[in-house]
Amino acid sequence: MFPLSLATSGQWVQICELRGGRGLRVKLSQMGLYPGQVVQVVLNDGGPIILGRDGFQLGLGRGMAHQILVKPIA
Amino acid sequence: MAMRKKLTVALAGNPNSGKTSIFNALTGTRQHVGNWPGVTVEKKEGHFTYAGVEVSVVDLPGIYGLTSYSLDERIARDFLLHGKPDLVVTVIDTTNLERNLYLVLQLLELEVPLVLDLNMMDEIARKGIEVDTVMLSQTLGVPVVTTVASQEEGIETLRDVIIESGQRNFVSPFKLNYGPPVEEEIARLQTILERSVALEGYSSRWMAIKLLERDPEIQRRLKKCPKQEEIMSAVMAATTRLESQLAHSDIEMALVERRYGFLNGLAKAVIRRKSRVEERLDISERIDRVVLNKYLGIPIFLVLLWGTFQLIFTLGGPLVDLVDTFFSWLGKASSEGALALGAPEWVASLVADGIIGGIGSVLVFLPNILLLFLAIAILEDSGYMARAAFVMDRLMHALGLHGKSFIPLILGFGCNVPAIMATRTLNSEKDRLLTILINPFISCSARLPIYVLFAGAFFAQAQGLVVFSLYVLGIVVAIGTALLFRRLFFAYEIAPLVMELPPYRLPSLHSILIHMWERSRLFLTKAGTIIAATVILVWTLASLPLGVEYASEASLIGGLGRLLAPLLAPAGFGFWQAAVALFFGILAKEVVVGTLGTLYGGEETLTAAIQSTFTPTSAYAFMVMSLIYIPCIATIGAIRREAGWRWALLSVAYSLTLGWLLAVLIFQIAQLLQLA
Repeated sequence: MFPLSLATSGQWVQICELRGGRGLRVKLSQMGLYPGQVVQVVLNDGGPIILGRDGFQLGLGRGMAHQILVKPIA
Repeated sequence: MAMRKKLTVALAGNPNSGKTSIFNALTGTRQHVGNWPGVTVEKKEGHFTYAGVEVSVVDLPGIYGLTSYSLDERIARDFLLHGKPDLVVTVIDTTNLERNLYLVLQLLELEVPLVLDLNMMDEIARKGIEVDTVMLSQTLGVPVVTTVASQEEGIETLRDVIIESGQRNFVSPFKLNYGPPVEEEIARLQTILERSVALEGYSSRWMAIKLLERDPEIQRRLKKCPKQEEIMSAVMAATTRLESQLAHSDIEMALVERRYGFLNGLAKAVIRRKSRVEERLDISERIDRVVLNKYLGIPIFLVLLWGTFQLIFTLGGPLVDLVDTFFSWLGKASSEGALALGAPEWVASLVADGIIGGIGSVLVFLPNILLLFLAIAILEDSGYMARAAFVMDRLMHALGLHGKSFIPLILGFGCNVPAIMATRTLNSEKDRLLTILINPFISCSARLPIYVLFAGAFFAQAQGLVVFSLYVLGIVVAIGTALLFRRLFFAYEIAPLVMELPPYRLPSLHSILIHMWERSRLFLTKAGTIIAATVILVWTLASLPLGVEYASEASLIGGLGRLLAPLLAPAGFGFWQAAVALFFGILAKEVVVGTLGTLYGGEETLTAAIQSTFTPTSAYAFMVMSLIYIPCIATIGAIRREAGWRWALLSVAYSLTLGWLLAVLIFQIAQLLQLA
């Protein structure tokens, strides 16, 4: 398990845990990033992180990506 | 049961679900279809009549859920609870079914009559996916309609279902089973609530769930209730029990997870893939890898911005000349025509110098305005705007702003009023306030005529550059103000950025033209009303007292100008015409040019008049003053509405002072440099 901010571009990950304030956790979940969900890291090159899953793309600030713990999916 | 003749329908859905297209298709009105989040108008209403029933449609803001955490969600929730619509139609982006259904679950819990509209069915078909709408409908207990809003498919059926469901007032019995420990606590709380509180049409189950989630709004509402203590301690006990039973420290998250668990299962049951869909990076993702790249992002953005300005001026230039010629001709022709018809001198003057001279001098810039809005429409519709917010995020962060603040600021280039309203998407009040307060320094389209006039008169070769410099100055001042105000008033953490990025789309000519027109129309109606009224007022003041030479110093308007002029002398334009123009500019920035047009209406062209009264340096100082000195009345009104009286007053005082200081500084320094 590691913070999303450390994932590499192109990697598929599963969300394990959301840290941060309640409002943030609920908001992320409502937008589709909830524990158990699988997403692909479209872009992570030090700037904002883009996540994708067939259907939509979500952009996250790095600070937020630090608060999301994920594990890699083969 | 008597047939209802009038229905109120609320339109709900995620942002980017095509909700606004459905709204347009149903009501036939033209509204803005924003392709990126951040464009929110509080409530859009429309109506249609069908099968003898009058249906009023309210378009709620795009939301992901019904919590109290964001202003949009609170607005939507408030309307659903208190506006008591007869029916709620939820528009769903079917390509993203699971996530869109999360909102549906929340609506079902609210126990409102519901209809599901699965939109974007064409994109689903393209991906080789089918949805079992019958099973979906049966499971959730609500009618399901399918549409392709962009092609207006399925709208007839939607209307039928709306009329029919609106008559029935049927609430789905569906209840999500949260599992034994949670359900037990919900039931317990329900009993207590039902006997202690006047529920006023709220569902007791919904309230119980909200209390377990520690929803701040519901807690606040409960404070007024006499049995508050008893209820709150029951809730405390319930949450403590659940926390240990579920081994979860956050009940709300536990409920969220349970909802998604259900939705996962539901999605698997109703979605069928006809063909194998490969996991390849789709076009949008590929573009984003370039556009959002750490090193390329900002340069790409700057290039696009510069390109936009070039477009506005090189294309706009010749068109502006055309319109200018037209209006000069019109002025002369109407004046001669009026005199020929036997009208008195003053009527001819009113028509030629007053109305045509004044309004004409503003409308002359219509080509520039149209091009500006066209550019904004293209950037929005293509989906680039959302990316720009990301590219600017790190920069915004450094300035103490939220990445999401970027979108209202960009809107400010069109008009500050909708820009200020768009700040509603910012979750933190302080983020919102800061974005609202710096917005007026973003040079809006109303100021453009001023720049084009003066830059054209004094810096003909470098017009584009000079105007660009003013826009940049506005941005710099906005940034500086952000840093200053942040230190002075708001020392706080920035809310982190999360935004949905809609797929890139090739904007359809039809839709960008609509958006360009919608916004330009505002400019035109302003010209027709405020500017016309002001221009006539100016003309009147310029023609009184009776018998005085038109727009001379001896007239009333000259008197007003002479009073204010000394204040402007240090900035290089201490003459009364400039003072009057700036004074009336408070009503609407376009009026500055309109007033000058009226006051100098007697001269050959406004440009020549300007060239003889200003110098290049005082012209630039004047432009800087116009940029900064005060938000227009409509903007002040918007600030007052969104932030309150005190901030509006502060905004006015601050910009007046700053505008004057900068104009004076620029002029005086330029003078010193010339002497040296």
